Amino acid sequence: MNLVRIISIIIVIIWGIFSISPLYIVVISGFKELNDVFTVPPKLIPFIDFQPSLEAYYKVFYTEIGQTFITSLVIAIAATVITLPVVIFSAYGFSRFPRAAMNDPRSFFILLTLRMTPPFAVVLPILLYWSSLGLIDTYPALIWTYTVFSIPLGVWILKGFIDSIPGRLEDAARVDGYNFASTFIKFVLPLMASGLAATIALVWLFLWNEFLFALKIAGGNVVTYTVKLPQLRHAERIMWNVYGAMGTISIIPPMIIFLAFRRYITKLYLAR
Amino acid sequence: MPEIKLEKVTKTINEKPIVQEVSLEIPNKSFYCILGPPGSGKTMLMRLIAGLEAPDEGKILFDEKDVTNLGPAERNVAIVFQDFALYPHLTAFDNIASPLKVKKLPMNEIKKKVEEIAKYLKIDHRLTHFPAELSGGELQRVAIARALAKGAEVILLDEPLVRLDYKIRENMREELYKLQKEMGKNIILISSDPIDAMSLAEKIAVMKSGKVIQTGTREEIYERPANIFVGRYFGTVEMNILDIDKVVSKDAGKIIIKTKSFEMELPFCKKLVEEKIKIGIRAEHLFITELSGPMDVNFEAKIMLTEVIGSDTIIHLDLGLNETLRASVPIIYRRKIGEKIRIGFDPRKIYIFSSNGELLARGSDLYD
Amino acid sequence: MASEKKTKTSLPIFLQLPATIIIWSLVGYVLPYLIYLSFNKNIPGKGLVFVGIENYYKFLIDPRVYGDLFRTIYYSGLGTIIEVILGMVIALAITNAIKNERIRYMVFLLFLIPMSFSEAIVANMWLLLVTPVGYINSFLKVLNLPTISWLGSDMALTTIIISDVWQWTSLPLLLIYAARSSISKEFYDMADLDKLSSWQTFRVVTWPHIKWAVAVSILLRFIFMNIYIDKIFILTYGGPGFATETLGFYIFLQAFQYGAYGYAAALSIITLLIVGILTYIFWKFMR
Repeated sequence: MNLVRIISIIIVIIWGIFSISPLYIVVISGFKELNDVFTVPPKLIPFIDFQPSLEAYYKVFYTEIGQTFITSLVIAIAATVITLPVVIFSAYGFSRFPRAAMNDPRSFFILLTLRMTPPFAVVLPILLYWSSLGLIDTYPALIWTYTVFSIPLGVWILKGFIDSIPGRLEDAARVDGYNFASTFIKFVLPLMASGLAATIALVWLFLWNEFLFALKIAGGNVVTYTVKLPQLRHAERIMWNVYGAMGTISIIPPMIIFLAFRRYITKLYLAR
Repeated sequence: MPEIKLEKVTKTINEKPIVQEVSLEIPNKSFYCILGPPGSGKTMLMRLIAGLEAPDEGKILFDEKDVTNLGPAERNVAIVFQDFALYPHLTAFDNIASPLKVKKLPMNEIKKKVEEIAKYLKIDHRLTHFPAELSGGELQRVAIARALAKGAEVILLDEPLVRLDYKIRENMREELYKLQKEMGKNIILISSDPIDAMSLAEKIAVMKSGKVIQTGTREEIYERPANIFVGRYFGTVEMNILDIDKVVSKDAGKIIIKTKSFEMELPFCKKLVEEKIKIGIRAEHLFITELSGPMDVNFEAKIMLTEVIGSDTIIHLDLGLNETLRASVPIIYRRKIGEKIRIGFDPRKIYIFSSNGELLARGSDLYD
Repeated sequence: MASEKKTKTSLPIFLQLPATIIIWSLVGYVLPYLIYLSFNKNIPGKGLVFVGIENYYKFLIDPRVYGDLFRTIYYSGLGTIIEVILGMVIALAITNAIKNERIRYMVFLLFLIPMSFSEAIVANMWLLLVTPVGYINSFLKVLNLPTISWLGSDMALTTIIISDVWQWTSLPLLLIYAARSSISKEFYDMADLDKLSSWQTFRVVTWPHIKWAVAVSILLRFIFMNIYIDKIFILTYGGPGFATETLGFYIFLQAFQYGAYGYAAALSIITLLIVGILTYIFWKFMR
């Protein structure tokens, strides 16, 4: 038990407390009555410092606030569903035909640039684009925009997985006599299954978390929870406990997905 | 069955020529071997013959029919891949049945055929298992079974023995040989191990750097290698190559070839005196005079190392003056390091190469 | 038959068509329109007026840009450095502190969770903490310490950096921890045998193996910190004053607050060029 180890343990504990605290606070705030949220001293322990209440959650579920979660869910699922086949084909092309036109590294680079594009740089022209089509603040506009920006992300993830499937199996299938479609359906997709699941999950997560486009391209009729949440501050009386409740609900899907696909997250960022 | 012809087939990838103007004739119903070190282009050549890749230039003909633009299905070829390439998510049965399912045969016919082939290859008891559960040898057989199930006339084997243990390799060679004889198909073996070629193939093509250096039967290539590379490559142990110090004419129509540490006498040949040459002598043609009896050329050498491989011994010899030789004897011969023994060989067996590596003659030629 | 060869050559292109069509359906308009906008000025009442390259040198003489530039570099630079160093320290600390592999893995996973949330949600979360009557100040009051104006002009940028550090230290942590885990124990055994000090062990065994992960972390975090303005938007909206205004946020304001479409577009184009260059560096680095 030397000095280094002691310091290490201290660091881990401190960071642990630092990491968990905000989460803890958000969760308990969601279960408090409004007056209990910001008190001096802060009320931290349920049942002892304060009586947990579902007041905030009622507000969430019975008003349009809860609706925003559904909106986010629907949009994220819709965009993911459209993106998926596109991503499968594109990722396969980049992986298996790197020498073919439109599949070479340079084209992949263009895709990558799209992923790294700052939303703030393109949100204005995109807004004007949908405006000119009369589709401002509609589901199709946001879904389509999301699709465009999900594709690079999805291709980036999925290509890594397809690269790890030996191409030899596709050769064997060709030799056996299967045409491209059969080979793809029978021999590529099943082996891609886990990678595909991770891609779907991570793309969906990206869309579930998105803020700026949802704010500017939609925001009136089509409101996602990421947009709604900060809006709570502009109400006459700021409902901080609702704030906490919404925050709690919104972090559940990311945590579940993250823990379910933890192995792939590592692979994703480490892929050379 | 078909006779396969390649005419000036070329394939370039990223400006690098992988296969350069290769022309070959593979007779039908034969066991043909394409032999070459890694990077020689033999795998690409296999893919071109199979139809997995299309050549940039040249033609490929099956029985005089131009198949250059056809895929593997249309050419009716089967491949046994080096890493077996079995579908991991299917059982052995389904793997073997795969080419039959494409043909849309009725299920009971497929079942019959698969069991027949599996029985022939002695894997019928493992059909319900997945590739992950099978041993190396079993995987090999399933891969072969799949190739046979296809009913193709040409079967390409891509370094099939590389993944197997030493002992199984020997058994496999026997079985492959038997297979070809019994099935009467055209089997093309791609390998980097000359022993595969020597023990299995009727005809061999030796490749290096994308080109075919020499084709012929194993006797032809063994006895008359086109150059030093083929001479050294095609043998159980690499051929010994010696630089020649000088060649002097002796009267009575003889010449003396001198290496750094010994000399040998041969009938006169003008060319040998005029050009700079190298001499090759195979390890198996070097004998220990103590065991074999006296030989025409003999000299003393010091043992550096003895390697026992199977039932043979490879003896590494130091002739002094930085000249070394390897001799291979078919017995187990253990001696101390540093011991001196007498080595001899028959000068008729030597290979005479020109300065640029081409074969000029065998020793025996000078005696005719 | 010739048909198979034709399919062979056109198949890869068909594979990329859906993605290409969808992407260009938007980009094909957005890019030219951005360029078009950048040569115009939006005059209220009149609409777009052609002004040539005025927007492109306007930012050179715009004093606010320089403040923004400084804040941007400070924000993303400091944030990145803290996140990578902290991430490395914590990754190594986890490795040293916990010997039980299962527990170590679980702690590691726990520490990765902040990374999975959206930028906006994290900002909202921290609002509960840093708002003047929020939890942190309440806590300080209990300890009889003076409260801090977390979102005031002195602390605002720092507060945002802290919230970003809270969320994204997990990324360098992830990469460096993974790199560290791949170092086989034998190296450390050898270091022990040679009686190397902790610092020497780090320098000789650990560092060479995690170098790459550190570099990727720096690149990724630096790029992404500049891309998202969610936290700034939600916590401070660029203020108070200009205290948390970065270049990205400035562009946003020009477009949506001041209606200066042309200027915003020109700045966006410049941003995209810079992004292109940085992506290229990232690309080359990864190969």
